[in-house]
Amino acid sequence: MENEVKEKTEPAMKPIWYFVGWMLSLIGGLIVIAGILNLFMQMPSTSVVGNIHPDLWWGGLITVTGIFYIWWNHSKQRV
Amino acid sequence: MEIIHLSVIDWAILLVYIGFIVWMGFYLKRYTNSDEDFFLAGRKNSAWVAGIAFMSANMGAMEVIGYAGQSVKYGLYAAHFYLIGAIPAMLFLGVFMMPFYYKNRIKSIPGYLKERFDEKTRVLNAITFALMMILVSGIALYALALVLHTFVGWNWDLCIWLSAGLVALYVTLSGLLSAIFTEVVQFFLIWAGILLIPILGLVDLKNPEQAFAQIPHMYTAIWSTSATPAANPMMVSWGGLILGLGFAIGFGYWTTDFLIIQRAFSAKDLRSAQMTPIIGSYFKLLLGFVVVGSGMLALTLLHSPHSGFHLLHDGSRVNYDSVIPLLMMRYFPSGMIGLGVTTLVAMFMAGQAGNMSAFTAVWTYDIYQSVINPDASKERLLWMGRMATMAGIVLSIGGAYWARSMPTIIDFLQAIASFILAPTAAVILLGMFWKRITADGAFWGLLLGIVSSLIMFLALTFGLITNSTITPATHASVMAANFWRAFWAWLIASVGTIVISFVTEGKTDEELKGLVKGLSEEAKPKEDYVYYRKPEFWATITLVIFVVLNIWLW
Repeated sequence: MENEVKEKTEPAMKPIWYFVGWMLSLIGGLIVIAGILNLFMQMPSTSVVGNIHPDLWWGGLITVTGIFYIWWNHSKQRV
Repeated sequence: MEIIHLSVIDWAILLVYIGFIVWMGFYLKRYTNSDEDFFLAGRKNSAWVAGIAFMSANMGAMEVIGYAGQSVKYGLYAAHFYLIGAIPAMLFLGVFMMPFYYKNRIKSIPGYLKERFDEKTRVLNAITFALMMILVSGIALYALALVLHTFVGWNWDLCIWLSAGLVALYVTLSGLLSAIFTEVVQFFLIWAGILLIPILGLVDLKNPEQAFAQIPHMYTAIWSTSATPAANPMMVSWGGLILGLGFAIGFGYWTTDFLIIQRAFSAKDLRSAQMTPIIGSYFKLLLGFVVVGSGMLALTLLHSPHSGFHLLHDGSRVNYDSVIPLLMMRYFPSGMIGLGVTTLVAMFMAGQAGNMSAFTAVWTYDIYQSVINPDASKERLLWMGRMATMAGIVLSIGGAYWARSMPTIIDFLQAIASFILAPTAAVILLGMFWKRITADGAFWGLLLGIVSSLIMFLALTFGLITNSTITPATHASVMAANFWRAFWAWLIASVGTIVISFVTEGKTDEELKGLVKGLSEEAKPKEDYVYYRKPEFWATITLVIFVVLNIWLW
């Protein structure tokens, strides 16, 4: 009985994909920022493939994937 | 070796991850109200969530780092861990075994052994499994601290206590629910970190086909060199691969290791539970491409005179486990290094949380409730689950320090896993498909399998026998001996179980309904799904891919 009351007062749980979206967006965004800094500040790169700037396009891909997950799930609830 | 220096953004990525995981533990605690929420995540997960958590629990740090290292050591033979050693058993679990487990609302694998056999078989399995979880967890903790200490220069003790403390916090708060939620988040993070390695490797090689051609043939085939053990780097025959890795170890791990099967039990219905390992099988194949691909990339670089790529050495011994961190250092620029370090931490946490949630469930239901306090209320079980998580973490920290004092402990641990899982698989499979198997047969067969494997291991360790004694070959590696020992343990457990079952009294057909195939109507999904939503359809596609890959890499 106590549990039922507790469940009713709690807001519905967000689906897990929503959290995945936030995590990917935050981390992807930070990688893109690092990529921009590396690009414009001409930081010496230790990466042997630094010339293709994986931080920019890989970080960008992670960010876009994360934003998509947030957008797709922001109004959904875990069943 | 030069250590990795983290920039401000690298630190920010790591701290965002840690903060997010801890916040999720607190957020999910509000929704953890019953023992079923804590131990089985409320049985509300979709096939995708359960399937991803199933694979994430398997993608521990030792799995990814270790098998990439095995790929450098054994070449493409390491792909067998992802093919014959995984796919057949995963599909068998999904299609044939999950209906038995799920229909009876079994809460753990020892729980099934209790229903099918008796209390003593359940307790024997529960104790050995709980011990294995603590040891695995301790070794994983040790491995993570070692990697972070070697590559990032962090304090060894701090790594152990901080990592263990974080896992303790979020698993104690909401049990399997937070373990699964964080595993799914970590799953995406791990892919973000490791998927890029082989992609950048292909860019680095410039002409990959020409570069791969420098690798000796014995490292680039998986079956054509298996007729003679001396002709392949793993020094194992096709018999050892199929019977040992494919059957005893593969079925032992994928069909009876509660750590991963617990994720399927958290599924919302039978179809989702069946789909859990089948979805996992697709990710397992992809993981094989990434992990073995990274190992083969490192092998290629080692054969390229101008690559400047070298593995670390511990004294005179090559440290194969340094492959993944070294490739990250080679390819990831500042900013992405933070992603790489976070991936390593996430891999560890996913495995550690899996170990702890499985340990907690088995301890609470199969040891505490079964032996110590059979009348425990649901509230008491929930409290005990939280206490068991804390105790399990403390024991794993002890295990990590023990591992530090024993340099060969990881080999020892692999052996422990095969002592327990191969005989357990023998007993469960016989019991599930043959009604004649009795409780006494199962108990003594299981014990016989565990003890015989232990005796073989000790005899090998102390030089009383050689690897060739237990493998039917003149030349054999430690890995080949592992495969064959697991097979002999499986065979001894099976023969012992059958012989003792014939001279003892078993349960009646009525008592075995729903627990043995053929004695009652099979568990079926509530709806009649169209063909492309059926588990059998997706299992068949995996099977076709599995066959094609074996022929392609022959």
